[in-house]
Amino acid sequence: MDAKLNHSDLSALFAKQAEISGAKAEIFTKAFFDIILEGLEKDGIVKINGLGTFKVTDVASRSSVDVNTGDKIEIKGHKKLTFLPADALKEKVNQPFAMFEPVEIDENYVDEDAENIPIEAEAQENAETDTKEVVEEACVENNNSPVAETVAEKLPEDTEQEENDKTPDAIIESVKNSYPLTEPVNVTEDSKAKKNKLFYTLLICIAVLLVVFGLFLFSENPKVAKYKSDVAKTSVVQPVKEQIKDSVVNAEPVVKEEEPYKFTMREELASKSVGSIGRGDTLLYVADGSLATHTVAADETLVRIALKYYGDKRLWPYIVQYNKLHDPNGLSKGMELLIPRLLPAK
Amino acid sequence: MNNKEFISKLAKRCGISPAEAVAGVESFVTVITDRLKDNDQLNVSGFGVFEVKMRNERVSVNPKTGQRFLVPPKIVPAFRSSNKLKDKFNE
Repeated sequence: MDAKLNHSDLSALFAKQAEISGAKAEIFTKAFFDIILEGLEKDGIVKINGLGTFKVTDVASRSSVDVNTGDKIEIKGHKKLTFLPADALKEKVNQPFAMFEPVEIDENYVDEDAENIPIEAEAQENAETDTKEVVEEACVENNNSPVAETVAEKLPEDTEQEENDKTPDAIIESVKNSYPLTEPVNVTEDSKAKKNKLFYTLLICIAVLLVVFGLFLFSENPKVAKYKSDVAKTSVVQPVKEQIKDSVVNAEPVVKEEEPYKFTMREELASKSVGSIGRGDTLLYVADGSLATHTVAADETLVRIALKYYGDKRLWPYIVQYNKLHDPNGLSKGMELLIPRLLPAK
Repeated sequence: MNNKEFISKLAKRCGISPAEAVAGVESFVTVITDRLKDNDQLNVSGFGVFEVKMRNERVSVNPKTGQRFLVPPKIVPAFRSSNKLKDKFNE
């Protein structure tokens, strides 16, 4: 696609197509164009079936203007080589657009550009003659503004169209849209304008939706938290507390069982007055033996460890207390920490 | 020079039979057509360039009846002769 092929590419492709050797194909290709040239020199016309006709035509002398000086100059008559493609070649090349046929345009159709200009002219005339009457002026303004709007609307469309014209596929679409209707072009133009409006309204709708969604997300978190805590208060806390006791009695702090721990402790904290731990005055939990031994990994903090074992990062002071650490910030990699088993204080 | 003359000359030049030359021209034209179909540009040095051009849709008017037609867009094969060739014909 869109490649530039030269003589040798052509003969290579030809060798493949005709299933002959490359050398033969090269000779054939060269002879092909040489003979065309010879024929043109001899007769001035060469016809090749399936490809088309090469013809040397005369171009009559004509007068023109020198671009730099503005002087009148005469371009002398000369000969030029023209190529008239054969119907078969034309058809094959035009295959992507083969389904189109010329369509008769309705006589009622008026070119929109031609329509707009007189309206504007009229409006201007009105403005000049009826300067005294304010009402009339308002009317004229009203007349003007829609025209301006339509023009403004058309401009981007035109550019769009131009862009479309560059790509064959896009043009197929646009033509498909306007074509099989066999309706005047102004109708299709209207529909385009409608489409444009639809597009803008859609954009606005999407923007509004996004804003609403964003607000929802923003307000969601507290709601969810509330909801969770409600649920925890009503149903989860009691049974799960029992679960904890059970598991504590069993004294098997397997990693799998940490899941309910995390959850329940979090919920308990949520159900009690939040932040009581932060005061440090009241102890909610009492350390009762060690749950596990934790080897500190790189980049690990007490908060993270607390989160891992208890599901609550606020419980890290218990670890400090239990291990009698002097400097809570002085954790180092490989340090071994005893994780206390926490029981609710009575 | 018509197609017949062209074929016979080509056959003589390449040392093949006219039938073979006809087949050769056919497949050669097929190659060109296929390349042009793919929007390729064929540059034959000393001769010219084969390419395709896009023609936009347009409104044409029948001058007799005033009837207007919307002519659909189309892709047309085009040929540009090389400058060398232009000079050659104008010597």
